[in-house]
Amino acid sequence: MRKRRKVFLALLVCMSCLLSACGKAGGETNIDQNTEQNQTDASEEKDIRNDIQEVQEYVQPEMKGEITISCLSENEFLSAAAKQFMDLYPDVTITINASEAGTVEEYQTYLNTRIMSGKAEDIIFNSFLPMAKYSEMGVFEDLNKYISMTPEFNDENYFMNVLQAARQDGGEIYMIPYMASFSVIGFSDGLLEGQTDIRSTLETWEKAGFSQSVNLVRQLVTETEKKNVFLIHSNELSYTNSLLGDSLEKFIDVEERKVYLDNTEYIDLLNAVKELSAQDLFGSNVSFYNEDYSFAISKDYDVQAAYYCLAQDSDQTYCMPLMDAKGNVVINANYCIALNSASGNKDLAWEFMKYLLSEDVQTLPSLHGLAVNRQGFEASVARYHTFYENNNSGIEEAEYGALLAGWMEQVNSCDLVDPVIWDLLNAENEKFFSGMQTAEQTAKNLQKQIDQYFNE
Amino acid sequence: MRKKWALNLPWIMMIASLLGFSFFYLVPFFVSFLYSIVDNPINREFCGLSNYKQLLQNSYFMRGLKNTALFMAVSVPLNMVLSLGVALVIRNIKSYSNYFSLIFLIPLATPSATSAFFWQNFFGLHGVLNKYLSVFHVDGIDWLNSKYGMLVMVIIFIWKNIGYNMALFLSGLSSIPEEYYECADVEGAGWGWKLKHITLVYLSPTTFLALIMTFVNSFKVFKEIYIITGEYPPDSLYVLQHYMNNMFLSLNYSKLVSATYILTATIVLFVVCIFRAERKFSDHLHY
Repeated sequence: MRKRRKVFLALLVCMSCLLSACGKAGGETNIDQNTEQNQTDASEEKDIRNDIQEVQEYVQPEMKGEITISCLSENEFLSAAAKQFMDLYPDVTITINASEAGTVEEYQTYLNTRIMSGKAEDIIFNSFLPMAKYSEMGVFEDLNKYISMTPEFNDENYFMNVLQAARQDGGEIYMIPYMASFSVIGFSDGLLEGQTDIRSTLETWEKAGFSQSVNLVRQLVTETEKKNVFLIHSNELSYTNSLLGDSLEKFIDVEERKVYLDNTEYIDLLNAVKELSAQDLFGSNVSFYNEDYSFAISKDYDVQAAYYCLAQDSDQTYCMPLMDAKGNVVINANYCIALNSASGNKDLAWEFMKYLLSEDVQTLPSLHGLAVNRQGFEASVARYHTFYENNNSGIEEAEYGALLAGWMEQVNSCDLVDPVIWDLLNAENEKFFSGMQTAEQTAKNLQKQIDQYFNE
Repeated sequence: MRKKWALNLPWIMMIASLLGFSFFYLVPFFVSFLYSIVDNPINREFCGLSNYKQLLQNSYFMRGLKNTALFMAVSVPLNMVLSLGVALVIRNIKSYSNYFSLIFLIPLATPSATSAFFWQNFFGLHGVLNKYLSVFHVDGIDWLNSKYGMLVMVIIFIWKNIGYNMALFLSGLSSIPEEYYECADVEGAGWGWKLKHITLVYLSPTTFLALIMTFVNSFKVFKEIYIITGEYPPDSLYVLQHYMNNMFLSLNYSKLVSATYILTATIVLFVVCIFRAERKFSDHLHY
């Protein structure tokens, strides 16, 4: 009997301990009352921490040990950089764990398991991963401390706006890009012939929104007497994505976890795209490079767009970076790297991240894009200029570089929209465009699925 | 000496199996409880039972729980009855009964992806079923995305698992001595009486085993549904495994583990009830 009583008491104590911690909701009033005070304390603490960081001097760690890197697939640039780093520091070993899994989903499953067991690699290369979610969960280290303690990181050596493009509203930087990739909008020179009003409007633009650009030239396509003119080289799905990229916040509020897709605006958007397709305005079946066809607007990637924009024999003119609804020029997050907050050797891992951004590595020919390091950028420009100049268009390297540099200076954000949201949008929109479901059904399904994703 | 060895052998074999089970299942299961009482596995801030509380307030978790319970309540007894019926019919077939058994066992050997593809094409909006129905001027229904979704899930489950239970029942039926039936025939007993007083009584241990196996297998229908509808299925097809799978993908291990514990508690409770019922039934049984 006594034994039973003891067991009962022990259980009661355990339960009360657990339940007391459970009383978070009940303690909300206290929390609310203390929030202001806490916020003040937190901001003061942050200021003090920043001051300390400013005073703190960076001490290089002992260059010895193992750095592990996780990435979806083998990367020539990364392998070359790792080899160079190991040659430079023979006591450091770099292990690149390229996922053997074929799909992004399998890779994510693998990485999630590693993260949760505390065994994830020191450095994580993003490949369609839910980086915002990872950051929110505390998977990544805030790189502000490291960036502020690295004097080489300055405007003279780097495009700091690109390097800090992934800065969050709270100021945290959980990932940095090792190269920049962004979309550029260009307009058809032939179609703008004699359109002085539109030309003068375009001359005032430094960057362009997708819908804004379409609206500007939409009428020209239907009214022109020229043959083989399309609105854009795109299919229905990617055109819808471009429109959504332009106004995603109108339909999905990621921060508030709210979805507004089940409304007439989204249904009208889908129907409008289908109508454009029915009018044969998307040149998805013709070659982008065939000069017999012209596209009122073209959405292209940075280095190619810059070249074709300058080439005299090309139809493209008034090229400028694509901006989102907030006016941000956004880079692709798939070229970002992050430091694992649970890493046992963060300092050493940071040394390698820093090395990836150094001139030695950023000038490597295997970097297929625009380097964030200014010396590396010059090398990228030279490389791409040589590549495109096979067409003998007579474009000066300096001119080409200046155009790209101007665009690079405009970058101020990084695309952190969860890839799952895009996957859901694409899957349902595709069903609509293939005639499997109505626009209303698509909007309804998306509303339900994305809401579920946010609030599950 | 030989007698002692013979006595110890089962224990030795049991210990080996138990060690493996404990090491790979039991210990991780209990250790994972820690995840359910922290805010997230990275911060590891103690939060008591708030994850459980949040789960019980989460409409999606509750929907998964409700659908899972409804699915089991319908599919488990239906599968038991149908598989017993099939076993009884096959047992009474004089010739080619083995071939008939084989037909029912084929779905068990069919890979999930193949069967999912088949059912998707059968129940899809432009699927085979709607084409047949259009002959009778019935408008096409997206069966998986309609109020009949649960019915589709039950059909897929029964199609896949009927053979397994049928094999168990056939084995149980073959162990009932023929003399009992002959004796009943002599006494002039009818088909219903023999079923109730001989077949069902002597099949009770097999029925108990089949019930447990059906219950366990009912969780496996998720695989086909997941292949057909993905992570975010229509409301009627959303089961607890969807919730758990999505929690894993979104790194929410705390909720995942909490959900697992709630599910385990429910299963344990159900199995304990079945065991008790079976014991009571056995005690009152007069062979």
